[in-house]
Amino acid sequence: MFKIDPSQAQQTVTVLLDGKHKEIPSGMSVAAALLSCGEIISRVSPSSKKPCSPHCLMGVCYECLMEIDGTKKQACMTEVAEGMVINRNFTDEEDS
Amino acid sequence: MKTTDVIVIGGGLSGSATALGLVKEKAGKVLMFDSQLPSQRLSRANFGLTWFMCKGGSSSAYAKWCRNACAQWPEYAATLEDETNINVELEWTGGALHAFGEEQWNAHAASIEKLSGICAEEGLDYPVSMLSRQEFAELVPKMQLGEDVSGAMYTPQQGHVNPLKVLAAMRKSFQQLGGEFVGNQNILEIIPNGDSVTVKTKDEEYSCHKLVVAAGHGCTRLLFPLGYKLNVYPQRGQLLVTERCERKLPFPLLAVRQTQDGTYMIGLSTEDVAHDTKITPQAMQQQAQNAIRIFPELAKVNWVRAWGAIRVMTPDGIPVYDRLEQHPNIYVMALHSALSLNPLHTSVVAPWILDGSNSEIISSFSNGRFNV
Repeated sequence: MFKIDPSQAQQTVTVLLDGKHKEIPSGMSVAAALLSCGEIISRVSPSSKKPCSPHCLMGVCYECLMEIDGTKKQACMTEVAEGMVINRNFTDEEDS
Repeated sequence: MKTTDVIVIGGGLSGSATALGLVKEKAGKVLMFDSQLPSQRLSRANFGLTWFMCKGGSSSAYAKWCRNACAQWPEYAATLEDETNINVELEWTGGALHAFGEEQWNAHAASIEKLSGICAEEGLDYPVSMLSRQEFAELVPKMQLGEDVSGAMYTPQQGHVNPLKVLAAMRKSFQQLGGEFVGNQNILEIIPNGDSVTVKTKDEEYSCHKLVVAAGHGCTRLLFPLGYKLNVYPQRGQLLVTERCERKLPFPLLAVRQTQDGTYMIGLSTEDVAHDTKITPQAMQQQAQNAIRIFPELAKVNWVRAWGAIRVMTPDGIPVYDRLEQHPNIYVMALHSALSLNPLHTSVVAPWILDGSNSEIISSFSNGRFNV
C-alpha cells in the first residue's frame, strides 16, 4: 500500500542494529525503516516468548518496543537518525 | 408487553453473577438488561483482585461475607471454566499490602489484630500476617524492594483474576442456561403492579414477577420514583497499565499486580468527582510514584494505557442488598468490590431473591441501616 517512490532518491542513514552497522532509509520512523528492509521482527514478547512485529504503527499497541539509544521506546514513534543504536535484544530475555 | 419471570437491570459484575445464580436456581425465564452507559461501565475497569484482607473492620457481618466469598473463588472459577471454556486466569497465590516505614507497619499489624478479633466473634480465623522486609523480599525473589519498604501485610488465601474474562464467562454461562441478555436498552421506568412489575424501555414494555435492580449508579434514578432513597455516592478510581514485562511478581499487591500477560496494573486512587470518568496526570503521577517506591525497577517500564471509573460507594463501604418494603418483589444491589463478592452473588444472593424469605446474613446489608 505504501511504497517508496522510486523516482525520488532515497536518503539513508547508518545505524547500529543489534551490534551491526546497517543502512536504512531516513525520513521515517524506525519501525517503518526496518520493515522496509525486511526486518519484520521488532522484539520477543517477554511473557509469551514469541516474536512480535509492529502492529498499529501509530503509537498504540507497543508491539514495536525496542531499545533505541539506551531507552526502550516505541519504534513507530521514533524518527530514524544517523548513528542511532538500536537493540532488539532477541537473545537477551532477562534484560527487560 | 413481553412477560417473563425475573428481570435483572444491570449486566455488570453484580448483575451478571446474580442473574447466573437465578438461572442455576431454575428461576424460570430470566432477562438481564445492560444499558452500557459510559459512566456505568465500572465492571470493565475493575482491578481484578479477589480479596478479603482488611475488609470488615466496622462490621463482622461484612468481614464474614468477604471471607466466605473469597474462599469460594477457586471453585467458582473452575465451574465457570467448565461451563464456558473461558479461563478467567485465577491465580490463587495470595495477596499483600506493602508498608512504608515503621509507623505504617505497626498500623497494619494493629489492623490484623482488630480483624482477627472481629472474625473470631464470628467463629472465623483471619489468616493474615505481617511480613518483615526480609520475609517479603523472599516471597518476591525476582523483584527488588524499594528502600522505604518495611514489610507487608500478607495472606496466602486470596488471589486475582482477569475481570473482563469473568464478566464474559458469567454472561456466557447465563445465556447457555437459558437466560436472555438484552444489550443497549436503557430502562426508563419501573412500575410496580402488585404481584408483577412492569419495566419500560424506549422500545418495549416488559412484565415480570420479580425485579432485581443492580444498575450501579443507575439504581438511584430508577428507585427514587418509588419513594426509595438509595444511599450510594460516586467515587472515582484510576488505573494505569504498563507494557508487558517478564513475569516476576508472583502475587498481587493492593497497589500493583502483574497479569498473566506480563503487564503491570497500578492503582488505586479514590476521588470524589461525581460521574466524571476522565483520568488526571496528578493521579497517574502519584500512583506511579507509589508503585516505584515499592518496586524501583518499574521506573524503567513504559506506561501504555490508563482509565478511570466510578465506584458505587455506600457511606460505610459495605454493600446494599435490599428488598423494597412497599414492593417486596423488587430487590436492590448496590456495591463496590463486586468481583471479590461474586461467588456469593451467585450462590447466596440469587437464592435469597428467588426464595423471597429473610436471610439473617443479608439482612445486615439493608439500605435501612442508613435511615436512622
